Amino acid sequence: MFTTLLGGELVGKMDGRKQTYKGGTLRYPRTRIVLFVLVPALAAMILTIAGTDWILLPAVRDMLMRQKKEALQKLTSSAIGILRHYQDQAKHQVLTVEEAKIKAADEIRSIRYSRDKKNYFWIIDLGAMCIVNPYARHLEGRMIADLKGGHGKKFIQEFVQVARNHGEGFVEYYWQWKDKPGQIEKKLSHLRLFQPWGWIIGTGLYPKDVEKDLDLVSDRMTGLFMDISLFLVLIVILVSGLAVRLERRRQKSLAALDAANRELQKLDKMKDGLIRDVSHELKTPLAKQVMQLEMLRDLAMRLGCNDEGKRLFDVMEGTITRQERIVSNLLELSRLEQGGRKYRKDPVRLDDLVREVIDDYRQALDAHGFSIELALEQVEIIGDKEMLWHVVSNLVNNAIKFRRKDIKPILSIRIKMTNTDYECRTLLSIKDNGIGIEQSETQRVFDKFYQASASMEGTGVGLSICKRIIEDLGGKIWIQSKGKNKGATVIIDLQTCKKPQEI
Amino acid sequence: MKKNILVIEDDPDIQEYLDFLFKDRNLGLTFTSSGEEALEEIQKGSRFDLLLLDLVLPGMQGEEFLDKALEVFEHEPPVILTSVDGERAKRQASRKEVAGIFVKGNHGDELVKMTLDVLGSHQE
Repeated sequence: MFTTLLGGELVGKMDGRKQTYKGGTLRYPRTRIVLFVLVPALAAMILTIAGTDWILLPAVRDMLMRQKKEALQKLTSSAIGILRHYQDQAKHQVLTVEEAKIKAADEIRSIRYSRDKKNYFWIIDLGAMCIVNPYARHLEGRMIADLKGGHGKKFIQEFVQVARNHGEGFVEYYWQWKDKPGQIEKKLSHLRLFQPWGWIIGTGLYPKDVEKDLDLVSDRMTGLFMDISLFLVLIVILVSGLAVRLERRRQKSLAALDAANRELQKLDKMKDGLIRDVSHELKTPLAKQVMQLEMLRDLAMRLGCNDEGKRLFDVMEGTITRQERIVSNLLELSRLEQGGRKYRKDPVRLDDLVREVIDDYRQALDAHGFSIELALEQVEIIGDKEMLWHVVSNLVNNAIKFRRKDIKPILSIRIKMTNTDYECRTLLSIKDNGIGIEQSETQRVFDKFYQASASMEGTGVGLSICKRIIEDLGGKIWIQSKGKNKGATVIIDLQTCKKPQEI
Repeated sequence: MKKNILVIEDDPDIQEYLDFLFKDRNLGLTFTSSGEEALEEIQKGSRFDLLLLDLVLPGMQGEEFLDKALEVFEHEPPVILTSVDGERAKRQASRKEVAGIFVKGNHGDELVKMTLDVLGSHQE
């Protein structure tokens, strides 16, 4: 295709890979959005809830328990303060010891704390006699060492033991409610020994109450997380909507790109067709011009044409020949691009072919004073001799056409073979010391209608044809030049070859 | 003996050119403008030593004419194809009766030389 003329194919490059729109109805990637957006969001929510239950709530429980225990310690400590106050009064003989004990017991008995004002202090002595118990006053003054809690634990004895050994401490036991026989509840008490009187004062709490507090915290947290989750879901929906809209827009632009591409291809085809048709139509009038010019020259000669007239005939013949060559080349390329040419696969001695081309151009080369250097290895390749001839002659012709007029022109042709275990390649290089090209132009010279300058000779199609032929034969062709007036080397890399002696 | 050439060429300008090329060569040129006309000419019984056939013709195309004409001839004369399109002519050239191809636009001397060569090697 004549891609270079119209700018070629538009390609949508997204995500770094080539995407072409397949046509038909637009597909919205809903499933993909569910997978990539909704699933992670749900996973995050589940993880949050699980994290709350397994990590956060136990941590809060521990913290609450610790706080409660600290509170219990402070409470017993302040109760001890009350006892100490009365003991001081006895010490200063404001009260007798007995009076002080009674007053202290009364005051302790009357203390209630906590939210529902039900928590209380109890006092026993080291002999396990009950001194104060506001909810079981019938026990006061009695020995209660054998009092059993739930599961048969004699916790009073444990109180005494802890007080004797450590002075203070926590004791955990199960409390059998007297008024509710079926209800046994875990209780945690802190107790402290008041040494001067041998009293043990304590107060307890039900861990169940902590659970209730915890439930409250848990409820609040769940509420909060539900709010967050709801917010998250809303955001996910919003983002998904946005993604769908973006994707839809992307699909639309891909479709537009594709349509533009097809339009370009259509235009390209039309242009190819146009070039082919125009070239074809031009062929006949051109041929007729050649014929008529011949007749005209003959007529002029018979009428006695002078040298000026002969020169004009020569110029006209030259221009018509050039026109004819352009049109022929265009048609040739057009055919090659249509795949109209069936390449032959014959053994071709490349070195012989090069010599034949040089012989063919000998007259022109000599006329311009070319010095010719050949370094040709004997190589037989499988290819199309006529087409290869076309390529080599085109390149030799270029060397003549684009020679420098101020120095002695040199044409140097080499054939070099590399034969490894893996591949067999033949490099054919055609080097001149002519006008060369800018390095930046080395890619473009193979473009159709490329010409270094408008005034340059040549059809601008020759190298395109060469490239097409070499590529059709499975090879590569490129040009090297160090710049203007520094010559140029065209290198042809043909992939398959055989040495003659191996045939 | 004067050799006769049957020219099948629809363009009068080119007919004129061919006339110009072959004058003073002691050759008899019969001009026809289509395959149909040429077939009529052959069926009249005239003897031709060479056909100068344009590939692109009005109506019957050159290739089709070749198939029909060669059934009519007792002795198949050699054929020189003329065309502006060398490629198309080359596709026909593998036929054994095609003795040469002249690409219009090339120098006329080429055609004259080719014609004389073909006539010379077909002495009957």
